[in-house]
Amino acid sequence: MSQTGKYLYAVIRAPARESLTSGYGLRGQPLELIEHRGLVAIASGVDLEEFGEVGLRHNLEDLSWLEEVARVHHRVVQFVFTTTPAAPLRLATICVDSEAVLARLAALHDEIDAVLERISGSAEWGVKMYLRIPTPSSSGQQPSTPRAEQAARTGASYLQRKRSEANQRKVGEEYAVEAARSVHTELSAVAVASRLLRPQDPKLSGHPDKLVLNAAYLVRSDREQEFVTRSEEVLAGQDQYELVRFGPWPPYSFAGLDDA
Amino acid sequence: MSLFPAADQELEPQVSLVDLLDRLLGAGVVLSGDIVISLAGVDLVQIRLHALIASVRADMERSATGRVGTA
Repeated sequence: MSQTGKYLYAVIRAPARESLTSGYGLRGQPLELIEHRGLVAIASGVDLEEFGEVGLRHNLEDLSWLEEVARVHHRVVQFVFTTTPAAPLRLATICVDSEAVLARLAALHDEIDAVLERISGSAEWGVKMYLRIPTPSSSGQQPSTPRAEQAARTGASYLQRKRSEANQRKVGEEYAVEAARSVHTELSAVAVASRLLRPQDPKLSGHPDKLVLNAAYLVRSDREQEFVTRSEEVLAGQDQYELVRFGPWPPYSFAGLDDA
Repeated sequence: MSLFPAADQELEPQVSLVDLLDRLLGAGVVLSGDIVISLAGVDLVQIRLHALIASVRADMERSATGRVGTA
């Protein structure tokens, strides 16, 4: 049998609940708690043939492998996060054995502690804002309002609609950037911290509209409702935009040691 | 409460892989360097995985040396 290493999911503060060891990680291996000076790493055993340098190099290129590992990683971190503040580790953080985990915890103790301090009591919310791109087929097949449906039936209305679509595109793109900035400002005001993420390629996100905001917000649990409400109201009446919100998530975007 | 369903879809609606990777790879701890994972010619995410792999290597080497030294 090949060598077994430790895959790390997250670090929490001691004491860790014993119930965490009832969970399972990658490849069905039980979760383990590795403790050092008040910090506990949540880990599970992995085969180093699959997760060692050579295996990783190959496997990370395999999208289905990557997806499976990412989903299990997320599931475990979520599981831990439901019980206690957790600093998630980046995907595929692997140590050869428990001693190596201890060494890493020792080396990064103060930084990890600072991260836990910062994210304690908060969760990450993701917000994506799209500018809807009207297409002839979508507006013909899926009229968004009864009025649009009626308009689609008559010639004059048709021309009017085409003109308004063209206008909307032109004006829309110009205003979208400004609108996105204002949404970001509004939401950031309710958050402990915020971060703009990379734009996503539509071919990968599968979303046809134009992404104008891809952001993450660290929100304290006592302001969650306020954040949700504000995200629902911030674009009220502006049907040219779609806002997608997800959370609460573990604070992935706010656990980087370099932010500490 | 069933803490750990065998399948991973139950806890929340399926999250898009891109959103997940934005976070699982975008944020991070001690790693730097870049490789690009691509899917059908599209850069999926510009990820800092190169050093991640290097760190695994360093860890393995350290462990190997340690074993030789202390055994």
